[in-house]
Amino acid sequence: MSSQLREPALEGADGPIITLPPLTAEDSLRSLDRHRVHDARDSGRRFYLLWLLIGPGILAMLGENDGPSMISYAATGATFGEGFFLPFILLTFAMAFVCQEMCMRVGAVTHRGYGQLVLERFGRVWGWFAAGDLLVTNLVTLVAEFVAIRIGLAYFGLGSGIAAGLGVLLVVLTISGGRYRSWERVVLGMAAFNALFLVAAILVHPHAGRIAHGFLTASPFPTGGLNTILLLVASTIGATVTPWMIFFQQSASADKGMTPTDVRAGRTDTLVGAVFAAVFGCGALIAGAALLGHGGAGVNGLSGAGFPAALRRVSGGGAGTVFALGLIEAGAVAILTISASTGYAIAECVGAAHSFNGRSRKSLLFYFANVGAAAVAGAVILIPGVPLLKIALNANVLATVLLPVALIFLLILANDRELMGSMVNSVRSNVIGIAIVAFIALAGGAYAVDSFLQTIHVIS
Amino acid sequence: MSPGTHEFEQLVEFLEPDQLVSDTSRPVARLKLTPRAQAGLWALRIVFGALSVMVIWTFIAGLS
Repeated sequence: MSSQLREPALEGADGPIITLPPLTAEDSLRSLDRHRVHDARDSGRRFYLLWLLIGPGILAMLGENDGPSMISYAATGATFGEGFFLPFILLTFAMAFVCQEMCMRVGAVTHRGYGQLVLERFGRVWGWFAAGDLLVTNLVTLVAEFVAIRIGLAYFGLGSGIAAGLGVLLVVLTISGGRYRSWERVVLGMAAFNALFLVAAILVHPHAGRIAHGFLTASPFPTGGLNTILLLVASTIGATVTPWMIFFQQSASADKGMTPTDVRAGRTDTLVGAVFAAVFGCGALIAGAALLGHGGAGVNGLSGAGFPAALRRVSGGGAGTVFALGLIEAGAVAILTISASTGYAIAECVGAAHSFNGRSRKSLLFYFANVGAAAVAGAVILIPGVPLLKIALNANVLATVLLPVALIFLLILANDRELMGSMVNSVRSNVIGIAIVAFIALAGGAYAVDSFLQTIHVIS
Repeated sequence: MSPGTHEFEQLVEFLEPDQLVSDTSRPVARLKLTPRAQAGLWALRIVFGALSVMVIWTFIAGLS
């Protein structure tokens, strides 16, 4: 299908009266999807309409329930049990909902991705800073996703070569459909298996009273040094709100063809994603907590099969197997969504086509960045001696430290009346948004400064 | 459905005019930031850039 068409014209009595802009193949595929949405809305089929419009929100949220996040939740549970961090996970996903709702709304109203809007509205320097930050955090996080797949596969006796090949192959296969809709539905289907962490939590037979106590009282509070607590708080925030989610959900909402009339459904999509992600995240923490008192704090994720093998010893083979499969799923879905956000960001910043509906040469960079990011990260885990577990645990912290700048630009865009018209942020959204930025900046900054001062021996 | 056919062109009605690739490819106008806002953004950039360097430094130091 050729990407550029002639300019179609409507015929009037005296010849052409209205000239429509040129249509591309990307337009035609998007309008086919919009055709279904219009039909569902006109015929009053509310659930079918919602089914058509869900996607970017759930994918952003479940995509962030990724390998390092689930390992981080399980490690927290194994070290401190179910206490403070159960309600803290709910709080961080509430924060994620506020941020992601803004991305969805800006994408639906402007039909542009985050990278493109920052570049055009604030200038090239800020656009490239945003894309540069994203590229660094995405590559580190992608390495961590391959690590998670490797841990999961190691439980079944499979090696890192298979983990790297599987991840890259998944990216190639999912983008080969040449349509946003098919890509989104395949990844949504895979993301449903994030529920395996809830199954793992059930299989370890947790103590219901302890879980209820943790949710209701946010206690016991974790003990240990200030730096350990700051690390846990920063990495838990980084496990729920990250720069790639901002780029991804705004660009995917635009790519899906969402409009201001879809914002309500987009909100539901984001809320459902946040609820599922919070429940499954708590599941990982509860499963990990089964290792408390069984040497859980010392579990090394890469020597042997790490958490899945430890769970098998303590709670039986079922729990270990389900947790291992969950890690493979979490890593695989995140590789797809994070690669997509890399493709969107790079293509938007250089002005190339940036859509899964794109089939022309102009889309080559978008697809190349998608596969290239995954391939580079996959290659890293094949290098002998690379400190994979340290990379995985630091990925979330780096994302937390770089997040406030991205959120501030998002807040400015969501308040830009020239772009958003009546869909600008409400005063309440702004107050909550600013509080979230301040909290994340404080948590990330405190950990960064404290760790740095310890490293250069200014404090002990 | 092929490009150039009647059905293909009819599809355009399901997209909003500003949703077409021809429109989204046109840059939006540059925001005019006050010098104070510019300075604020640069200050944030420098602070969070420095914090990122600290995290990376700590990570690298932890390897040795």
